[in-house]
Amino acid sequence: MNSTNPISIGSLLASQEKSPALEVLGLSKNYGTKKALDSLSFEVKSCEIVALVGESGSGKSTALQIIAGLQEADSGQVRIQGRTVFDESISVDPALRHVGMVFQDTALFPHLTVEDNILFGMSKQEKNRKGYAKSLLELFSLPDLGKRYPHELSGGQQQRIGIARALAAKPRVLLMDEPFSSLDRSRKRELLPELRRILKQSCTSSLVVSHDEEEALALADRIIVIHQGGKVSDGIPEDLYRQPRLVPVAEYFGMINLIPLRKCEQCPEGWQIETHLGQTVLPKASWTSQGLPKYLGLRAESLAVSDQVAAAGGHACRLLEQRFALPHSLAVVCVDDAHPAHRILYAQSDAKMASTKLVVQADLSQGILLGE
Amino acid sequence: MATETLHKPIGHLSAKMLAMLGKVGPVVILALPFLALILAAFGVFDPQSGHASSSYLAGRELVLANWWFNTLLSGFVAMLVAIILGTSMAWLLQHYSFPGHGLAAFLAVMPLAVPPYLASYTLNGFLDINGPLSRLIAALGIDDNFRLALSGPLVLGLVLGCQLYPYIYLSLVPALSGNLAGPLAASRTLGKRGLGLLLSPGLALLRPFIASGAALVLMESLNEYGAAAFLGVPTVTAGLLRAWNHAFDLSAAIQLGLGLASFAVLVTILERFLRRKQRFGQAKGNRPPIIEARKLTGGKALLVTLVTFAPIFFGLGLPLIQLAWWGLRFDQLSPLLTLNGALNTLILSAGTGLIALVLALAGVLLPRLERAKQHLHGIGTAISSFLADAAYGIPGVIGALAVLSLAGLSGLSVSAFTSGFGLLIYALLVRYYAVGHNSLHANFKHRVVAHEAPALLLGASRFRIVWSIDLPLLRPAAIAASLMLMLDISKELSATLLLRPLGFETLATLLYEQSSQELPHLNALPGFALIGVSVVIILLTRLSRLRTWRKGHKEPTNE
Repeated sequence: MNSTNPISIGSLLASQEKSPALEVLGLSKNYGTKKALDSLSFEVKSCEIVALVGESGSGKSTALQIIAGLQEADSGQVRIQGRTVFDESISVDPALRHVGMVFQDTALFPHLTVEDNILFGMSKQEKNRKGYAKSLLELFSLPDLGKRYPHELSGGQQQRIGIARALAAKPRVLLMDEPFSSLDRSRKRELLPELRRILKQSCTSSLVVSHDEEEALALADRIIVIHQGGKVSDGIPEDLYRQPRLVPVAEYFGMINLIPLRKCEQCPEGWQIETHLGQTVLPKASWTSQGLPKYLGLRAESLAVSDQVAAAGGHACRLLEQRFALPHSLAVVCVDDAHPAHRILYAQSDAKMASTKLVVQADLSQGILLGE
Repeated sequence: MATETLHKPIGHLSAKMLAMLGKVGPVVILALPFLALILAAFGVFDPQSGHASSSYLAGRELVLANWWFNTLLSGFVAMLVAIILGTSMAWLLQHYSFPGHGLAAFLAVMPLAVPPYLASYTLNGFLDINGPLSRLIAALGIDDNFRLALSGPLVLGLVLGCQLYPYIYLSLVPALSGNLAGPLAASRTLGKRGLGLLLSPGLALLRPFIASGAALVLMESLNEYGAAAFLGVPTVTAGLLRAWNHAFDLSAAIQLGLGLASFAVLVTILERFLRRKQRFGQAKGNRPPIIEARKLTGGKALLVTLVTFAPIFFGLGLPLIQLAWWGLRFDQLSPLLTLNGALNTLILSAGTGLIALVLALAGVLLPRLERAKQHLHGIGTAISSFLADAAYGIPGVIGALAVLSLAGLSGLSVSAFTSGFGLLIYALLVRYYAVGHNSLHANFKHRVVAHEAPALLLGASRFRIVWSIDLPLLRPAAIAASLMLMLDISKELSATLLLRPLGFETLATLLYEQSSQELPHLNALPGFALIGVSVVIILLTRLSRLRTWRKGHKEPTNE
């Protein structure tokens, strides 16, 4: 099939265009005896924004550093737009990978003006470089800051300049390492949609590392959860939230009650399950993975509590703590004295509990089947 | 693993060679003279007399023991005095506010402007029968013939301590307002205050910083020749100079020199051992809490004011008073001679400072041209910074001696009188390289290197990173380092004395000559000039520090 037909060359080029912006294949990295990355694989498609999430120490920053070329993996492969930049035999200099990176601490050059910071990575061939820098500043709604020095800017402005600087170099893939972790919540809420709009407009394939679920949900088309150096989940945000399938994924999206399953069997209607809070049948689609689930995950909103002992049919429980918490008006923590092994339950309520004797009613049909 | 590395096309090989040059160059330059010295000591080559055994030292073991005793005793006293003065100054100025606080903080480091030999001349001048104290006592009708002539290793130690305590102070101040501010603030909230806070946990926290300052004091004490000679203390350094310059016994000088050099190496190792925990204390980017100075009033304020101004008086005030006294009551050296000395001092210190700075910059930056991640902790850097530290402790005379040994080895003339500028500059370079290298290296590691990764990811070549990121970011530190080098070289006496070309006088040699001819009262002009030059350099250093802080390295402010 070694045809010289121009059309097939054209389609070959087109297929190369379509090759993912970033492919990571089987990356492993050890620090001494500690496993930082364990055969991690994923990809970022062209123009896609992917969030790499996980608890601290899960290896997400290491992965970013390896993709950028600031560290080397022990084994595995990194491809950027179809071109191998790292494997057993090759390690392309970070300067030649065309990877943009936004750092946690902005890392602006303190001795250069904002404009010179943005111009730093821009190609010399670029026509009207200053005009482009200016338009980038306008894009980030900071048109008048070009002549200022980084230390004269606020944290939020610095972070936006850091992103503008990375974009100015027209990277093949943009890496962001906890880009907003130093900003306060309201500034972050303002910046996240703005950043997503800019990335989408400029079709910048991006990989953002975050431990903040709000950041990941607001930015990403797709979320990859890593746990102990390996990928445990990969999907669009909504799916991951509704069907996390694994405990670390479920926990990433907030507090969840893990109710051990006493029994879990397949039946014609779906899954017949039994826990100490009761039993129910869940639809077939709620567990499609290999093996059997271990827990029924119940979010606080699936547990209703009441201080009216008369309200029968519930589960007796002793109030431990109640406090105001977002997004629920009241978070209630109570102790299940009858089952000391898994006794603490997190529930929510609209009304303040008047007594310490509570009744919990669990809506098991809202439960999520989880494996470890 | 990764066997092939793709670089930017420009100068892969030349980058590697330059990097190698940066790693090896300083090591070679620093190590060569000492290698020659060691070879000379073992008689491998023969500079003068045919064999390495010394006739000057033959049968004088007791004398030698006495020299070492004096050296160690004066060095120990100097260290003790400097630790007490430097620590109390830093602690009090950092934690309390009292009348004169601003002035004391401004003047605290100024005793560095007065070299110990000048301080010893003025001290004895002050107590002499023609001095202000004696005249005052006579005028009061108490005693017409009051006079004191201080001498001995204890006085030498005291004088050295009073002039050198700023080394401790300078090592403590950034620590107290930086890394240690957090732990100290925490201790305060746990109920520690005042002297209790200083004793525990203060001293334990300060220990590594005191150790590095104290090592500098000890090294400077070892190096002191002028004050030791004037105060009649036969130290090893003084003996070395005499063996060489008066008895013309180079092998005796080399033997003594190797002894001192080994001691300096020992001190360097000890200092590094004491300082090894300092790196764990590096807080990462967190803003240290600001501990507001506590306002003192009444008796306490008076006491603290006296305690902080006493070292400043002895280190700076008294020398200035005595120089003024001499200047007003005695005929002086011609101003032209002083001017000539001042110009020579400036040219020598600026020239050598510049060369040392370029060398240090090359040592820090050239290895960055090569792609690797280990440079900052590489063996080359470790060796050259250790050598630089040890060389700093080795008296200038030995540096001179070593350079001469090298010159002898390479067949150059070994006459001390025809050595010329080349050897003098080389000797000063060997001795003071540490000043430039250490401050640049530390600054690079803590402030600059973090900016390399972003530049690299923006596609900059290694050359461009070094040129347009590393170099400008390092500039304030480089200016400060070159000023510190100038300060040290301006005051240097022993190597200059031995290696200068005939007829070349610096302010230091002028001062030494008048005093060794028992004419210290002729020292007013060169004394003022040297102090003036040093004060200007210290003020410029402070200015450059201020600029560093202002431009760019400030913490981001919140909106």
